[in-house]
Amino acid sequence: MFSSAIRSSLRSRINPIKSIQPVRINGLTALKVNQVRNYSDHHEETFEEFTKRYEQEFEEAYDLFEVQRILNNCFSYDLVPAPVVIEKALLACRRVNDYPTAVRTFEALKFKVENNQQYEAYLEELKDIRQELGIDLKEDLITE
Amino acid sequence: MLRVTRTIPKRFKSTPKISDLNKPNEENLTPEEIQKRKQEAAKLAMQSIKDMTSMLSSHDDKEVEKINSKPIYQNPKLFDSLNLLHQGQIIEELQEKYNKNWNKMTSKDKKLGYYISYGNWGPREKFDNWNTSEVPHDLPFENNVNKSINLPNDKISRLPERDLRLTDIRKDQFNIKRIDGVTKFFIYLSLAIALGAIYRDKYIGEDGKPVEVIIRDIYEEQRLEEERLEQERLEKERARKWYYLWLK
Repeated sequence: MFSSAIRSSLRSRINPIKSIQPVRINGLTALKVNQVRNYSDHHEETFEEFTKRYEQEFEEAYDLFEVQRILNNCFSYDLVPAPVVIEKALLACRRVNDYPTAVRTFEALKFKVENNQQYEAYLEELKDIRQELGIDLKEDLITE
Repeated sequence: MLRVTRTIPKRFKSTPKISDLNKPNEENLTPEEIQKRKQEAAKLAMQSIKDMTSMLSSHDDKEVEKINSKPIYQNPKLFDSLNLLHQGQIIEELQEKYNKNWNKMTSKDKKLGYYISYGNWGPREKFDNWNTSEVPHDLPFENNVNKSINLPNDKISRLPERDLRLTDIRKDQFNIKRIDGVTKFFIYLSLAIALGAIYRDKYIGEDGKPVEVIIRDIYEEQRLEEERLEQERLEKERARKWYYLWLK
């Protein structure tokens, strides 16, 4: 009797796992797992949210493929990413030890900005990090 | 105790070999000479083993040996013609440099690195504007910037995706239906040969059209004829009506 009382009290304490629930689909019982996709699929967000999200994504990027994927995504919006995002991107390139991607980041920036003045402003803003990491611009590196 | 002694017949006695005759008596050699001979024998054995292994190994040593990478740094275009192993060697060398301080890299290192990553070789073969200030062919985004975005709370939206497979320069690469002329020729040729072979196999054969051999069995024919006649006779007999008996 004593042991059954303990057993029943223990059973009542165990919570069912909420993320895995049996679901009935077409007469078959399947396990529904709540999946989280960490892809950059955000249609409506503010400029600030975008900047924060990409700063974090670049900080968490663990290999070259990830860095290049995030770079492609962050340039695919109707805005030029903020200098702080570009800085994080450059640091991510440094972390995964890929120099050409760092050069390519500036190249992408050049084609994303509206005019040359804006590009110069970005370069001025990112001058320190560029010098610190030793990243050349494509126009300086490759001459026709 | 019985003791048996046997003498070996002369015919079973082995004749001395020529090499044995030429060989000086080992007892007369000094220990130094013996040692020298042993060393020579060991060398010879090693050489023969090396020869055997070189015969067994099919690849050319030059293809697997490390190359001098200096010319590649001088002229990055040479990287295209290297085999995979040597390309790997160069990429490994560059990666070692990437892992260190980028400020210490030379301009040639950086140029080669950029060429390997984005130059007009391999899948980017036709990207001839890689070293110009034009927009690269593989840039996966548009530069449609919404000028009204100025404040942190302004809404932003994602631009439609640019399908790089549909760009003019990539169309040929992704056109899997197109076959080059030489391949097409060989495919049609092999098809024609296969069809010809099937026709020949079915209707003509290895030594021209086969002659149909008809074997006539005369005895069998005679037997069949006799059988037929017998059958006819029996039928005739059966055809007789009962009143024929009375008419006879």
